[in-house]
Amino acid sequence: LIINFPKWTNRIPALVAGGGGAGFLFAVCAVWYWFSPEYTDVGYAPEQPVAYSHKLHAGLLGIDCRYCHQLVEDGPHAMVPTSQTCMNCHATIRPDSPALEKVRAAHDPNHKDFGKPIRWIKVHLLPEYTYFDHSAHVRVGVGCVTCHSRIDQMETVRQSKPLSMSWCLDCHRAQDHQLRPPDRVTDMEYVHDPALSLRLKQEHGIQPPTHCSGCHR
Amino acid sequence: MSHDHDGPFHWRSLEQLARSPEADELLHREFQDGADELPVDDVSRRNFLGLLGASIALAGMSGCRKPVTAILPFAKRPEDLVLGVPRYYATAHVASGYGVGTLVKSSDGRPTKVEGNPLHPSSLGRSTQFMQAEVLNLYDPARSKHPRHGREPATWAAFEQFCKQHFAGLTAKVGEGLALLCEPTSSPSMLAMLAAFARQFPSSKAYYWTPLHRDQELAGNRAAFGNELEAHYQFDRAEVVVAFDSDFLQDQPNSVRYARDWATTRKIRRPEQKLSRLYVVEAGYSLTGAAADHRFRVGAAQVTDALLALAAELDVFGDSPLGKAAAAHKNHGLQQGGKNWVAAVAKDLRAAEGRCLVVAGPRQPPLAHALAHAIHEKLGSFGKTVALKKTAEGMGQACTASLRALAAAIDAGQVKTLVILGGNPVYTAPADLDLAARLQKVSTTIHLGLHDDETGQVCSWHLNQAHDLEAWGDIRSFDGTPTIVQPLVAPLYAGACTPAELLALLIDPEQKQGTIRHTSYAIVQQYWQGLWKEQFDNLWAKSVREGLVQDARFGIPQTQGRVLADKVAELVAARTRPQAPSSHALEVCFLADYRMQAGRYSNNAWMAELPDPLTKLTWDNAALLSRRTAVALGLGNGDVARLTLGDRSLEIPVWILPGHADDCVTLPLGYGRRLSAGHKVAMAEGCGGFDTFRLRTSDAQWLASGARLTPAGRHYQLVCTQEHGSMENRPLAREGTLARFRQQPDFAPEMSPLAITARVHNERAAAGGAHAGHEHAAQEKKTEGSYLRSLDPESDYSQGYQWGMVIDLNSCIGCNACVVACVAENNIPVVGKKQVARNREMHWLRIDRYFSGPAQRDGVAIDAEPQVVTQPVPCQQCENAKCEEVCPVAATTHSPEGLNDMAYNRCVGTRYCSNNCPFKVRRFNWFNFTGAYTETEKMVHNPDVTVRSRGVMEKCTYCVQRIQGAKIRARNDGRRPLRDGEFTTACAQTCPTEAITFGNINDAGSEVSKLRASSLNYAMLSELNVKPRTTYLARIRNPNPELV
Repeated sequence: LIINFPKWTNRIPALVAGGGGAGFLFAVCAVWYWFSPEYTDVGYAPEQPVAYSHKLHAGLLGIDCRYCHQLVEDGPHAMVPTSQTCMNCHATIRPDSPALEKVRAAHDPNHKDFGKPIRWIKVHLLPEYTYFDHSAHVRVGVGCVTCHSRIDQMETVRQSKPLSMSWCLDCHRAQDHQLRPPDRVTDMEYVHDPALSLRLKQEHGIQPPTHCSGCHR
Repeated sequence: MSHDHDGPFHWRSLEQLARSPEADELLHREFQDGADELPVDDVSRRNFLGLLGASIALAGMSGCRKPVTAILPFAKRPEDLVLGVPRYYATAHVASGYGVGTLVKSSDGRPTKVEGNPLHPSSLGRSTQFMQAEVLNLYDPARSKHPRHGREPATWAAFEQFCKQHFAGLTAKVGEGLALLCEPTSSPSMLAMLAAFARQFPSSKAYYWTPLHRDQELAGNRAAFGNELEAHYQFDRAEVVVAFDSDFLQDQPNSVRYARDWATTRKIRRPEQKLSRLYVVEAGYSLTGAAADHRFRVGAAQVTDALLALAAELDVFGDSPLGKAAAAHKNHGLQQGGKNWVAAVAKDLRAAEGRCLVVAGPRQPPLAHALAHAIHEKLGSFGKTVALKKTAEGMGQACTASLRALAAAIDAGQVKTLVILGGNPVYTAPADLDLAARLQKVSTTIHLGLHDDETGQVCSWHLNQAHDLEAWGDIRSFDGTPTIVQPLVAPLYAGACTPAELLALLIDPEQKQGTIRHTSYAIVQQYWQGLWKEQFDNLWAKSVREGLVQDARFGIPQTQGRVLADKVAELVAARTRPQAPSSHALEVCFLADYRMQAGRYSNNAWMAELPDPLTKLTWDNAALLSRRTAVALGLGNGDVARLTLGDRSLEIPVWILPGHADDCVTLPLGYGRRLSAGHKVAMAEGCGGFDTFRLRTSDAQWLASGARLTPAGRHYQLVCTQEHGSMENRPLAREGTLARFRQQPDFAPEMSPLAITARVHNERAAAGGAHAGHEHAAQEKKTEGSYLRSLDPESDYSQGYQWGMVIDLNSCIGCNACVVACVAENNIPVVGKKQVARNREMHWLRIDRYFSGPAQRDGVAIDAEPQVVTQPVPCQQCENAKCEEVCPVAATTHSPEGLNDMAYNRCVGTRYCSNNCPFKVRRFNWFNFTGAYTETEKMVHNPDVTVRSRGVMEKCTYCVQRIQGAKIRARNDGRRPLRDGEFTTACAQTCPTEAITFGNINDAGSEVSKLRASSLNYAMLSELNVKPRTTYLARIRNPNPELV
């Protein structure tokens, strides 16, 4: 018995090689893109228990970031404000707004939820084996906007940078580390000046770590 | 097992010494047999695969998105609280009635680490293994959580209701039939409360008991001085110290300070410096014995004979007839060679008149203590090396007599209501008093305790006690300085109260003064308000902040005392010499254990897994004896024997401790608990040791004689870490005598094999040169360094901070404090006895204990009288790290500051690094050891260190979290460089003798640089060119030339 393969079957190996190659390339690209924090994490903007608008408070009203995030210069955590911080103003401004109900409850000694924290959803989440310190960055002149983008234009806070290790290292390894004068860290409109940045780096002897134990302990 | 360097020959265990094939096999293996197998007895394989499948499925579902986590801000933030930045509060660690000043780290409200308080004279910033382990006692999930009445859980409200009826009735009867059983305490406010209780119930009686009492020492002092005085030793001024069965580096209430003071006289950097000399006379091998220059091994009862001989030799008894009679004891009962050393020691003491100390241990009879003081007086030590102070109020109790009185009162039916304030007397009381049965005769028994333990179980009421870190209080340290004990956290379990709070409730059950008066805060404040009056506000704030009351008026002043020579001579005359022990009538010594104390740490996993400093046993205790005795009785390591003492007996495995006295058994206390199953550590299957309290009777509290050991024909698995991670017989722990150091200051680095090779080469070259004229004589001299070449390019470490550590073997006493500090700081998991048996212990810092000694001396075998050297071994942070070269995924790499970094999340668990590590300091997480932690236990974790999971290699990081934290703090604080000593590693901070120094080796002025420049400084395995950053200062012994 003789089997005659039709002529077109000669193309199978080439097709398989070509298709396989393309498939492999696609798989690599797919993992590269869809498995990266660029895709998985950027754009994460969960709904928060209180519809607080950074666009209104930080943008329109121009409240400095540090009014609420008080510990950003002193410790690892910038700190999410206490309900008391909200009520400093809202005791008199829009005291009856329904959007503020949970905040008022936490602040009202007669309410059952008095003193209880509000469950904010964490947006910028680093893995537990990564030890990031806000004070170390803010004190040397890394602006809020560098990692958090234009928070002052966001109605709901969303993650706009991948916060991946390679993204961190890009800046740690860069020539100038995106520095600005420390008194302008909260300035959202600041225009990056590479020459000034380089000068600040040299003046203050800033050498961001690029070895493992710089961030992993 | 070659021995070609010229230092003493070091061995780790008898098996190694005897070159048994098993031991050789063990030494050469990286991991033991079965180390990579699943523990079938814990999780079955099928079960495990099931779990694995489930976790993969779950991982698949949740892998793409990070978990949603919440941020819970304070509704109102406490002032000055910076989240993520730890705060330190001054308080005290209370043990046996005295306090030691501490600083406790609070990580966002949770106490996570105990350090010594640098301002406090009792610790000067140093601490012990017990202080370090105390945080885990706080978070023990088996702690008692609520009151219990009979068999049923009860509430505090129910107890208060009961009090109103019961104690109101007792008030009417002025406390007839009411008794208290307390632990002796020096707490001023607690003593005031006890006095108030006695006023409210005038007919009530108070009894005192603590198992680690100092009855004999107190009685000896009373006899010697005629009143209640305590000797406060000043080891920093002593040039010659003779310890008679005294482990003063560990077992004294002031041991933290004593160890540090003693170590200051042992730190030697230059050959011309002076070094103190320590003689130890003892039966068992203690840590103080390990630190000694001369250790004389005698039977436990013979220790007093030796002291008597020394006193007679020093002529302390005078010319009265009694004195002459006493002096006749000069040559009593010492073995051959004994008289020699008595004369030599006496001569040494005389030469150091006024600069010497003779210390008797708590196990020795009152006579020994009186004799020691008689010698002090003779040699003019009072006012120089010994300060006399009145015994702290409340601490002069004779515990054994007091407990006997309680037993008698119960038998006479005089006790109807017994309140037990803390402690666990049923477990710890003398066996002959049978407290468990006696308590049944008392109609109402109330027990306040941290655990519903052996005592709680036989009492009608059990009440949950507050831990010292949960309540206010005050305490005196041994030197008399009062300390305010402040809480670090609110009681974890509602209602938990202190003994003082309970007394306040019993005095005023109706709470007429309002409940607020009953809080520990109010009780302490009220007391000090009474003393400080209008200055109260200022002084209170200052004392709480600093952690001590800096006011001599409230301390204990120094007094004068004279030793009553006749009284001492009378004691000598009244002494009956004990029978010489034999293998059929053994002596028994009870030992306050180096890990469990007397059971306080029974359920503390850190302490259970800690290897004993001398035997290196973990998770169990054993009857310790000498090899000669073991051979005579036909016993070997782990063989169970029946130990019969009088009409009591106990089955316990034996363990051979080289250097132990013959015909003598040492029994560590604090094991073999009978607790509820919730006590997962103390009651873990197949470990937990044996209850030696069952043999301890009221007339033989510390020493007993006439015991018999008979093999029970069984074997018990004892797990010992001494063979783990061995590094062959290379000159690792180096030591020499003072004479050698003076002759050849660089003898320690010169012990390296390559340095020896260089020396031989140079000698040959010199000889050859002389022979063949002058051509070769000019040839370059070889050093160790001239043989060392690295194939890889070496990094430049001349810039920035370069971290290094120097460990001084001369002041290391091997106490384990650094090991527990490391466990607490770095979230090191506990693996359990079965896993330790498979070499899976996780300690980043181990202490190697080597025995050494001449092969034969006076016909006595090598293991009979060995010396000990202890060597802490953390990761050596090699500059040319062998581990880094073999990691296939670059999970371990070098930092520019010279640290060998470990990135856990990159590690895939090949374990190549561990195989290639010449120091055997890498530890592998075979399982998810931390996975089963309860929420309470998790509270002990240091938030600055990753909690590792299964499949990850880990090792010492030089506490990199502290380095980074300090650098960030310094930068935030005006961009300044770090100052030397601004921070240090956990081990260095804890070490009671300051044997560990850490710092920047690039700064020539730093302490660590100065130590590295010492001629005693050497690196382990320097011949491998690994360039360790951790180096050692060789141990210098200072033997008496007359005894060599």
